[in-house]
Amino acid sequence: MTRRVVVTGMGTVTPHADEVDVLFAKLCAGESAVRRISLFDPSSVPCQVAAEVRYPVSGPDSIGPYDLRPRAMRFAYGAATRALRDAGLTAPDEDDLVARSRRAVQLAVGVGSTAMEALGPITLSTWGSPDSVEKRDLPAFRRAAAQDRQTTALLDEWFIDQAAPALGMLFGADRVCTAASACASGSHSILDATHQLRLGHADIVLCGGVCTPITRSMMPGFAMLSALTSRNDDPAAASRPFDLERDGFIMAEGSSMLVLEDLEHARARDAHIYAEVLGVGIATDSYRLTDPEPTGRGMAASMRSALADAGLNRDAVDYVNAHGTSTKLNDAAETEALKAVFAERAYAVPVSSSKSMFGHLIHAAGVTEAIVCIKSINSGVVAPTINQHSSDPDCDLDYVPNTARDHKVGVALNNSFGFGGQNVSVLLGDLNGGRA
Amino acid sequence: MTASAELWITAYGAVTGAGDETEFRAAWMNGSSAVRPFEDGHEGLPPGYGAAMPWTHKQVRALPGGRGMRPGTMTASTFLAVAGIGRALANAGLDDPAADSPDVADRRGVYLGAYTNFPALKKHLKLVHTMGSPGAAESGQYQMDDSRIMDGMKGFTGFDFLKLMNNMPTAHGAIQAHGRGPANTLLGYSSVGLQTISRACDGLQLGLADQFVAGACGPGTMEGLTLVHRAHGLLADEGLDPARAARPLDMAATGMVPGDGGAAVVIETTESASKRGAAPIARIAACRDLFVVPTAPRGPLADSLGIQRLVRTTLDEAGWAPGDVDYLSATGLGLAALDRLEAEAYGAVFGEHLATLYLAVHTGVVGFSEAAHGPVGMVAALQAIQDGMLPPQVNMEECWPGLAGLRRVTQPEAAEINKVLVVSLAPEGTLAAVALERA
Repeated sequence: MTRRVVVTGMGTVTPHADEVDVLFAKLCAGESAVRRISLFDPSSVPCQVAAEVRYPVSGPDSIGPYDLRPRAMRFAYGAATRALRDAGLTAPDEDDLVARSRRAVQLAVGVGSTAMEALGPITLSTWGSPDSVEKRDLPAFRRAAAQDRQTTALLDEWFIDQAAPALGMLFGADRVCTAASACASGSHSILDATHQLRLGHADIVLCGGVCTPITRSMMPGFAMLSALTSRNDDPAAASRPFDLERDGFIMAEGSSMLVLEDLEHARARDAHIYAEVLGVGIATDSYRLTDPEPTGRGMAASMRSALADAGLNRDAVDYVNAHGTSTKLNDAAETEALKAVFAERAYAVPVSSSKSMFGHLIHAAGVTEAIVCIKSINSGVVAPTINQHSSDPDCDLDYVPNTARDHKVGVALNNSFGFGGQNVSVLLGDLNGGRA
Repeated sequence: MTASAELWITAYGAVTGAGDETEFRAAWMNGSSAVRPFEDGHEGLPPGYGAAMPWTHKQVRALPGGRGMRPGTMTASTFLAVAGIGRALANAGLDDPAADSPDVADRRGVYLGAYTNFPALKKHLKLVHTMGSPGAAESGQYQMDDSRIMDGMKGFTGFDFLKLMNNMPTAHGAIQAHGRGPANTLLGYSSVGLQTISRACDGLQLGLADQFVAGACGPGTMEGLTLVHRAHGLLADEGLDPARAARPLDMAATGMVPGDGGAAVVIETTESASKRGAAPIARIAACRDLFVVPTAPRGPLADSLGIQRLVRTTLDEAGWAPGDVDYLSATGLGLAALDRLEAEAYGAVFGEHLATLYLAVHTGVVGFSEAAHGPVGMVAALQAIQDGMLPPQVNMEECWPGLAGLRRVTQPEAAEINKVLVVSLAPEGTLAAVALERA
């Protein structure tokens, strides 16, 4: 018999808050966390707004050999400690190899680092004035950089491969895995963790995502892809998934973590169970790097795959937390895919996009939105999609416009679709979800 | 891997500093190293030599399996992943998407390992330099001037940033492989390549797909990587004879020698292989990975106990005794602190059987190819299973004491290889192993 997987802990460090309840309350209040960028002066870049974590995230500067001072490390550690505390878990003793062998970490890490900027002083000493028009001698730079070990060591941050091991140490896990599937990554970590639990590779998995993409290079870089909004004069109104006037997504930073656990293991330790992972689905567009397949074939396939995995009929789904990025292409394709999967029922199921309020957390998006789904299941309230003022004929579903709604949610579907055509859907429910 | 379905490797492919998988095999059988002085775009990089891939991006389109590659939209890492996949698909007879029905594509997954999708530095350095405050040259203090960000961005396109996303090896790879099933990019150091094999097996056991193309890419000679490795003191000394610089498990090694690599295998269920008439090469008998907290982020490990545990649990899962192993593909990065422990672990687990089994380390031939390390070692093992030959051990002259009594192979030898253990260890403490049994 397939092991059932449940959520026993949640933690978050996101633009709205570092407490799950506060985050959800702000979402239900329709509060946007989007502001003018403060991490650098964005005046010269096309997109000048983002959803930043603007509060201090406390924590130690290191854990074991790992440096927790880089922004991504601090966020990941912050979200993980909150999730583990929520689940009532601490690391087993170092010599308790049995307990450690039953724990794993599954983490998604993403774009964004200021590491390259550390090389600025070497460019200056090698090439002189930034205004110099002389040819930049790359071998000379390399020779200088190879000698400057202290500075080049700062490039380490680029590799973002230290977060999962650091969390592995925090959690006392025998297995750590870092993965990335762009914007689908967070949900992908839930999918991977669920598979690990079902296969019996572990009893508890700490899974989640972290992303810190609000940098001097990534902001203009993604603007060049026409992916970001240019609505700089009204940050709170800039993210408007499914609205006719949408013009791109809002970059956001943060981290969210879930503790996933085998149901029997959770019951045996009398853990609080927030929700069950009823089904997980995955499909790949294999189409283009930047654009979703226009009919939403891959998106629909991932939703169908999750339903099949859960053994549920589409009628069981009470709420959809959409990928809903606020780009022209995604929102139309996702709407098309929802209609393909749910047929007429697509018009009756509330669909909302939390990205309208906290932007796109990229690798942390799926897990953060899973937390939103779980809070909806637990509270019977669905958070809205804000900034819904102009109807798009291509997006004609019930997007829970502007105001939260009381709505009993037994089963929630969380969609995450990534650049490169990677699609993951997760079905969450209460322990009786869809089976009552 | 705990479920019961039997899983088979039916094809493999690789690109390395010595060439494709056939040229790699030939180089190793000749006992020759592909490590050469850096040139052609690698000038000035430490340690001054490495096993860089022998093709330009333009030439790759002409390679067998080069279908659909768009090198301009790839980093070197993605390029290597896609090239490795291309080789595996071509060898599997799966490189014609027109021959695939939609059902087949929906049931084909792609899992790839990568350490990073680090860019070529040139344009990004120009960006950083241009963003410096104009007064900086006089003061000698570099300061960013945010008003100059877009000046620095001149010459960039959106693709220059999109291609940095660390899922791009798989995003490209799925298009290359015509795979619409599960796809993921696992990120990490040397061991991650074998982790992808493990996760692909999980996917097959769970019925998520019928076939997986799984492997990894490692642009070991990339400038960002070599600079960081130099900063951490992980690279071999400069000024050495390049052909003798990569010395796996050898006490005279001075550090890692960078190499480029991409490798992939096709893994499928019995039914899938049978349906398309594919001949299995090997059965995947076990996959394990283990994390051990190192003493520092880039290692070393405190002791060899974790490595021993990894090897023993993998053998247990396969149902093998240590004496059953014919071929051990080891890690051998050339880092004294790790190689000594790796040798100690094999000594502890295999004991006197070291005199019988064949210990293979490909880093002596093609350097350390980062995430691709494990899959490249696996490809070499599959080649040995197929051709029944053991290549000479390259640059392994005075091994660490743990390997006392090790069987030495200095010339190609004929041998029947039935059971293989591939081990890929990362200094940072992520360890992985895969057991293969001849089909």
